[in-house]
Amino acid sequence: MNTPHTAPNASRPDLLDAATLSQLGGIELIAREVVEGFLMGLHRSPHRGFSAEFAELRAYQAGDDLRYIDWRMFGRSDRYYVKQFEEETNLRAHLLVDVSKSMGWSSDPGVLPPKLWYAKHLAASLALILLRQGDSVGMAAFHDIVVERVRARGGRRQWAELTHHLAALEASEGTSAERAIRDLAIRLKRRGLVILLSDLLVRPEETLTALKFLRHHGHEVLVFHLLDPGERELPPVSEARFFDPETNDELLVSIPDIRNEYRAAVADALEEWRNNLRPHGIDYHVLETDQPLSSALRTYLRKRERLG
Amino acid sequence: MGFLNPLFLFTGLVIGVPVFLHLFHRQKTRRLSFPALRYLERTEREHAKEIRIRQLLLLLIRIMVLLFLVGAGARIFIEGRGSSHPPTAVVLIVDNSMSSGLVVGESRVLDELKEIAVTSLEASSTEDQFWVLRAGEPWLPSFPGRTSEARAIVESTETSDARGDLAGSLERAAGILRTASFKHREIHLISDLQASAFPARGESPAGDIPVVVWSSRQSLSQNHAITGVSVGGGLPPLEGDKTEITVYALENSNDTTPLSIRLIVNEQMRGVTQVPPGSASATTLAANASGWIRGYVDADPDALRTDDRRYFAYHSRPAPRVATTGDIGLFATEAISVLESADRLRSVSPREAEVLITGMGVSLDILPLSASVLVTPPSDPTLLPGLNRRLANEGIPWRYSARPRTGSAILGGRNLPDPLENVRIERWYDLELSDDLETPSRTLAEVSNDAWAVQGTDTRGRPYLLVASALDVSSTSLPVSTGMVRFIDWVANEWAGTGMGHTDYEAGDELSAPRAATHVRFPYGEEFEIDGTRVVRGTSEVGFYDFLNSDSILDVVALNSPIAESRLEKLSPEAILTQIGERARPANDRTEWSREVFGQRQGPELWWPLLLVTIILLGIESLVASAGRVDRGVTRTANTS
Repeated sequence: MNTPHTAPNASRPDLLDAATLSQLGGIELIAREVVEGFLMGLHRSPHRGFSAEFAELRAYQAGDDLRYIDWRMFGRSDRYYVKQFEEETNLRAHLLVDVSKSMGWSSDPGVLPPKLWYAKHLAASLALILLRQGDSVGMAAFHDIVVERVRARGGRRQWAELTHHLAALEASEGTSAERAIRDLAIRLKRRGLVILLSDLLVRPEETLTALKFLRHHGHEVLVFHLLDPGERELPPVSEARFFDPETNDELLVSIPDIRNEYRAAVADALEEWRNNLRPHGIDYHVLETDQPLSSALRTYLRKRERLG
Repeated sequence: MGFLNPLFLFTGLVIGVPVFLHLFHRQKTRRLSFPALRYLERTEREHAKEIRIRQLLLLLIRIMVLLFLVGAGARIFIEGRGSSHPPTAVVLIVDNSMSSGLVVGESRVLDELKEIAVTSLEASSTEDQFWVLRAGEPWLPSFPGRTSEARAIVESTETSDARGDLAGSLERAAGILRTASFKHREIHLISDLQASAFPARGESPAGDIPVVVWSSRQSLSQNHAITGVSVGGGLPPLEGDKTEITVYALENSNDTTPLSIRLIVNEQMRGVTQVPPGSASATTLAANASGWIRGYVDADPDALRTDDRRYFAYHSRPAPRVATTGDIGLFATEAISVLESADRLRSVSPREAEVLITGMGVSLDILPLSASVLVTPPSDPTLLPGLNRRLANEGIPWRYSARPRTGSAILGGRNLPDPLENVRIERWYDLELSDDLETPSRTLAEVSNDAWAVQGTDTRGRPYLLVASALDVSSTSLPVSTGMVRFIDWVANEWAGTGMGHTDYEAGDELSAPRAATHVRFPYGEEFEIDGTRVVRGTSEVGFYDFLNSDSILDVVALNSPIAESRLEKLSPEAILTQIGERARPANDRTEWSREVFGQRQGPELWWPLLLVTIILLGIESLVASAGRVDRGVTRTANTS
């Protein structure tokens, strides 16, 4: 059967760039459209968590849902066993969103959304996929401290809860990621997946230590390094006085003289992050905010598959 | 090193403004929010030295590019004697005076001078501007032109029979160049450098303008010339009288061979005589009938032909009618009586007179319009106001000053009539020209640089002659000299135009037209209408100038070659500097001339090497500016994978 030929992006919002995507509507709508489009494009369903396929039995524990008691085994053994399906093996994911002032920056305001917008929509999309898989999803937002936190839960309401909180996030203050990460590591009782969405304009050593600390607590860690295209390439002006919106530090720069060196310095910095994180089993990915969200979602799926 | 277009250097200053602002006003740059400042700091930290060196290198290259562009635009050149020179305003003074007609070898001096002028023109550039002055024809206007136009003028230049005043030409050239909007100015004086062409002057005629002087090594040859011809010893013959023609020859220290002179009158040879150089010889001329008598004396032609012939003309007619009024003095009255008894004039009343001799300007108002008048002042200064009033009434622009001057001086002047030679003046009045009336006048005699005898025409067209002294023994030696009778006769006959024509005019002189004349016929036959100035200019040819009214000849003026031009003494090299000034640069041969002209001669211009270097520098600048742009393997794909 022939399917009508349409432009790929028309039915695949996940392939739209962030600037176009931001025109579609609110965070819930965008995240849903992105995820639907993304899932539609997958050749193989990743919905292991949605499978009701029986996996094994385990002894009943207080609090287990009575609906899953295997009455046959009860008849045979007079003991309560609970059917355990594949969805029972789903993990707890924690979305850690950087809301420092630098995340609110865009190199082309009005056209290109800020990094925080990208982070919020990516977090919402990831949450939707996670929840559809039957995973539990929690969220924490931080700058110098954790400013917002949603406990990890599953279910439809959780996504609504998450998107509600994500939509309300605003960029402010500086970034001290290590403190927030340590705080989160202490609070998380069960091991799970921690996804960090940040521009990583932080103190690298301390942040690295915090991420390793998180890893030592048994968490899988996935770092999305959000990068505005304007941070990779300096603007096309001859000379400018740049200032850091977080610290208000200034630097007078003759751009043509250092353009190439700057490009190399950014590349070196990203490479350093990768080299420092990878030996500790921390996945690191750079996302430029003019890229479609599908790229990040695909990265997540690969990670999720490895986790089993 | 110099600049052909130095004003362009100011452009360099204008271009330098943004550079200055760029270097010293950096605080006015844009302020941009940029969270990734740490990457910039890291860049600065890691590449500070490299960046600084490259910035300095780029700054250096850009400044050099700027300087080279400004240098190229200002047309920088190396000092030296190259083939090019900055735009120069040049006045070519080509001496085509009578002496330039001297034939040396097989060519005229003028031909050589023209070739030298062409040498100057060939060394010129298209940016030069030329004026051509012809020293023998100073009345010709000169207009600025380019090389081709100047060359056409030079090539069309022919010898004039007039005298060359090189000092005057230099002054005129300097005046032209001072108004020229050129930084570099030169005068090229191309002359045979006759000493007589430089009348004594107080200061350098060209001022501070450099003068390249053609000073040929060729010496001027000895010249035979007729320097004068006199009819009747200054008393022209009346109708039916025979007379004497006296011929004067130029002195010649090296050659005493007498000149063979032929006397031609009305196209017929009337006599032959021999005149040794520096001497005079008289030949009798038989009586002629009434009418204009034209003649000339002619010697064998030599290298300078113009001065081998001398023209004369007079009007053979009855004795003129002369009247006297006022107190003209005893001696003048006696002289008139003598002349009347010799049938040289006839005494009549003022109403019938052709010539009036008046002591107080009396009867000027009743004088016929065709008459001429000689005015002598009274010895009593208190009578002068009355005389001055009558002069003013008749439209004569001269006034006698009230206070007489005393001294002792011999009359002089270029136009001094023969009867006034060696006359001593001891008391005279200053003759002052009124600003109210502008009628042409001419000074005939001078005493101590003051005009003593002036002539002109009043507003009614009557010729007048004013003398500055009373004709008495306390004022002048004239009354008691042999010249007194001759002077009165000269006034009544020659000057008044009633008798002899004019013999003391030289080619180049301005001629006052008689009142009734409508046209003038030049020696080569062409007739010109007399304009409102009543003055005929451009008399560059010797011969007879006929003043006409319809077909009637009113006057005939014989113009002869200037005597000074016959004296071929050359200015010495030392005198060149004295006469022309310290800025004179003599050149003896063509090679030297080519080297001396365009003194601001320069070496090659450097604009094209500068542009070439600039292009190379811009290439280097691009390389330096793009240094480090080599892809370090960091791509977007690599980072996002």
